[in-house]
Amino acid sequence: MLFNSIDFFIFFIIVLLVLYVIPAKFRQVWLLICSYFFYMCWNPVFIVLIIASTLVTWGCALGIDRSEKVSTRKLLLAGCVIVNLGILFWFKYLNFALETISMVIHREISALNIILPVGISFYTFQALGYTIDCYRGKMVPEKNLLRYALFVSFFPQLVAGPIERSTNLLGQLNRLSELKRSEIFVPRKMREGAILMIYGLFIKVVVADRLSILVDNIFGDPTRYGTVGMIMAFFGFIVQIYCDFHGYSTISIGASRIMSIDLMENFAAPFLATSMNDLWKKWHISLSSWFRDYLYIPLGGSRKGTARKYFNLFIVMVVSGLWHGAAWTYVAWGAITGVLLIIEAILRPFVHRIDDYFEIDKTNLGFNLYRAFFTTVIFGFPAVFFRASSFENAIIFFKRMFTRPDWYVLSDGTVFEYGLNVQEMWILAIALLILFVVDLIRTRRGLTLDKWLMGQFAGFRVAVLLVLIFMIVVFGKYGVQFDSQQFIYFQF
Amino acid sequence: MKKHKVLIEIIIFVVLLCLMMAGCYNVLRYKDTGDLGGHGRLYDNYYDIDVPIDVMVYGASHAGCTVDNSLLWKESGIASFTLSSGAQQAFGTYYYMKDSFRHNKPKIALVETALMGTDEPEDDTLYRSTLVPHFSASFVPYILDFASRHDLDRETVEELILRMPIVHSRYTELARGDVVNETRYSLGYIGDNTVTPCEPPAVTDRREPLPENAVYYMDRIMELCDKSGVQLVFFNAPFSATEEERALQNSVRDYITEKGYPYIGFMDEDSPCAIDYGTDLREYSHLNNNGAAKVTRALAEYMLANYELTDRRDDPDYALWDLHSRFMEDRELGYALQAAPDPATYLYTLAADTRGCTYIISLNGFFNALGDDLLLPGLNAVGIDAASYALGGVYVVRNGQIVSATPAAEEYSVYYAMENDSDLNIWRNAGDEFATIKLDATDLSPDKNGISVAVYDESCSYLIDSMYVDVFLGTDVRRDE
Repeated sequence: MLFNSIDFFIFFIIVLLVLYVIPAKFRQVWLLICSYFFYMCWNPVFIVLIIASTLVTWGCALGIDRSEKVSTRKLLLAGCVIVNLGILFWFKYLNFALETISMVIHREISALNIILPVGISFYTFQALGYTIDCYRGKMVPEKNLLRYALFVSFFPQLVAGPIERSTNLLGQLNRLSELKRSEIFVPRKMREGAILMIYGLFIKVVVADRLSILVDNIFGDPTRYGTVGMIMAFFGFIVQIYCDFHGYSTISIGASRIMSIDLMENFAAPFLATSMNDLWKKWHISLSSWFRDYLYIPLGGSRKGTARKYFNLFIVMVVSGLWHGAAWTYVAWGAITGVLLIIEAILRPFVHRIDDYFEIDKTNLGFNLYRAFFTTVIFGFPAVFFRASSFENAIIFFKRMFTRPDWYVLSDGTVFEYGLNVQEMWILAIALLILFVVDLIRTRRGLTLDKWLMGQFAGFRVAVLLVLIFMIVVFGKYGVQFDSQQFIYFQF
Repeated sequence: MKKHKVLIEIIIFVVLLCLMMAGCYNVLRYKDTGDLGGHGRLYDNYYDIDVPIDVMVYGASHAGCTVDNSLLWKESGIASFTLSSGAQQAFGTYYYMKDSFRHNKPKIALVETALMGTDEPEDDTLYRSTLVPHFSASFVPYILDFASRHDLDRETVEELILRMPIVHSRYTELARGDVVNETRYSLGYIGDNTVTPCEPPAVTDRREPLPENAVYYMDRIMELCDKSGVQLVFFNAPFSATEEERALQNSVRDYITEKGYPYIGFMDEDSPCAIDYGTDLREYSHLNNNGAAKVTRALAEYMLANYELTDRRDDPDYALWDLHSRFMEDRELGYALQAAPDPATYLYTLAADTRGCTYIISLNGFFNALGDDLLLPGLNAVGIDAASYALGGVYVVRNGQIVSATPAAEEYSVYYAMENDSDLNIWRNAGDEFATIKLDATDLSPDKNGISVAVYDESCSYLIDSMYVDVFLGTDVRRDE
């Protein structure tokens, strides 16, 4: 059940209506039923995996809490990690491993017919995080299995994040059975949530799905395009994946906000970041913070010297690449990004000295936009490996970008034959302008769109929402003429 | 107080949202029935009629290309309307009938049967059959029934019911007709005088089995007419049918006659009129004006002999039928103009039409190179004298009188308000070689050295013809694609 579908809209209304009328003690059960139903709409069989992950992590956390022996606690934690990562490995990485072995030993090994369950990378990490937090003493284990199961499977963030922390989400879900109706259905929060859901849908169906037409065309056959096409696909893809994922996260956060549940922000205007380091603090925040807390810090973080810090950073980015997909292109993306982060870290003191020498005002908008543009370009280069179907295609892409100058296509109209005609380009331009303004507000004022709009004049607020809805309804890529575009991150 | 403010804001938002969605849907919705018959906002015209319509015609394009509503009106005073749509099958006819009966129950429903025996609801056919009529209470049950009979998936059903997921993508093809009704004269038939010699239909006694759904919807049609007190008459328009198509029609005919309903087969041996397949078809599948006239007269004779119909010709409330007849006369004029071999004949043909159409005549650049003898007599006949001819420029002529003219200047801007509220703007900026002529959204700019003529009927808002003679290409009458 995609977020940009009529089915989800009907489902969500029913969830809210029943949540409103049922007695408080049944709220968590109701949400759990809805969450399992939501997941089973993808494939009913895979509910077994969520339940397995839930039971293992819940049981291990309780065992860890009750055990006084360190070795037992470590054993339980190790077992939990092995089981969860084992599930992940089997469904996501087994065929990749077999393919790699096959390549190394020069013998063909048949791939197994394994279907990747939707959201497996997300809920296994979420459940693992809970167990680790219990091991570290940051979290008191949840004794109520149903409540814990709801934490693992809470439907707005189940299949594509944000990867929530138990310290944030579990408590909120637990309080559902204690709060009054008026404390769950708070008018202001419901309006904020609705704003977020509308905006998330806007950037998904108007921006991301529109860009996908252009990006798919060019990446699908790069030999038909020159420099201009490559540049359009280059920027088009990173904006597409941003809007696709940010759109989903925003809808997820909005849906939760309507029920007065606050999920963590997952994107904080990353393309207005002024450095790669800054960008990665604003991009897929839930995942990068998960890796920071559960991989980078356990590896030593920055506590064991500069060289070790860079090494840890590199490892984290490689693992992050692998998390995104079972292919060497994803590993390459992670590795290259890691190297770029390291280079930036090494050059940072010199850059600061240059800035100080020229007395650059780092709060200046123009300067920040200039830095943001370069940061985005640097971010985009490894992203080509992320998108290209193979190393060869990625190399072809870069080659053509620098060896096939065809700037004339901008004036003779050929550029409007790359997948988006003049009309579509105009719509995209207006939508990107809206996206830019919203991200600028986030960066300069520190406010997300919902918070900012709620502070504006009501007439303006109504007008903005009507414009967004108009663009979704009329210009959105949905309905019978278009293949329903999956959120890109569903494949992870 | 704060709660009230929030409530007011929400109410205003919801109201504005509903208005916006209704406005968007009104612009984006399907309006064109997509057949070769009535075009533009045919169904909207139907809803606008508030007088009884005695005969309704339903079916696919075969219906829209066969029954000449203007002929029924002029010769018999029968007020008819054709609600056909491209490739309409039994399920579509049933829904059109069910929906249209809410607005008007005719005395007679003529149903053309060419596609009655098929059940292939492809997207375009389905949309035109179900989404052109306005949303009504009967729509949802109809769609649910249709969906269950055709195994449509839930997503498709949701999209059909909500409509916007299907029609919203029409933003890429919006035209003036989506905002303004440019075809108020349309009653369904527009006809064509193209002649294409075709083979006569195949002859066979074979029968093809009818699809279950086709039979189901034919039964629903019969049931609906019986319940509504409407006389149902089936007919099969003649065309160059294949053996398989004839076999299917045989089955359809058998079924209809077994059920006790009248069926007039114009391809059968007992056809009430003889069709000449060498002259009466526009292409293999549809009649031209010759053929349509024969079939229409035969149908009129049958209806007048078997049913009581009122002659509405003297009723002023039926002005729309007079307007439609005028439109059909415009079409005849258009055919005559297209047949004109030279500019002089063209202009004389115009002069002979005394119905008060508007001519926009542009004399551009080196038009005199065509020679006075070629153009001047004809121009005199339509109302442009020698002095005006010598000056050149753009003239708007009606009833032999110049009603508007551009000045003899390098730069000018002339506006002429048409009777039907259309705008005619003619302007020329310094440095422009030719004038720009815009009739609402239609560009009639000559862009050529010579003469250009646009013939427009203001009462129908119909551009009958537009031609030019380019002195650098000779003296032939030419038209843009």
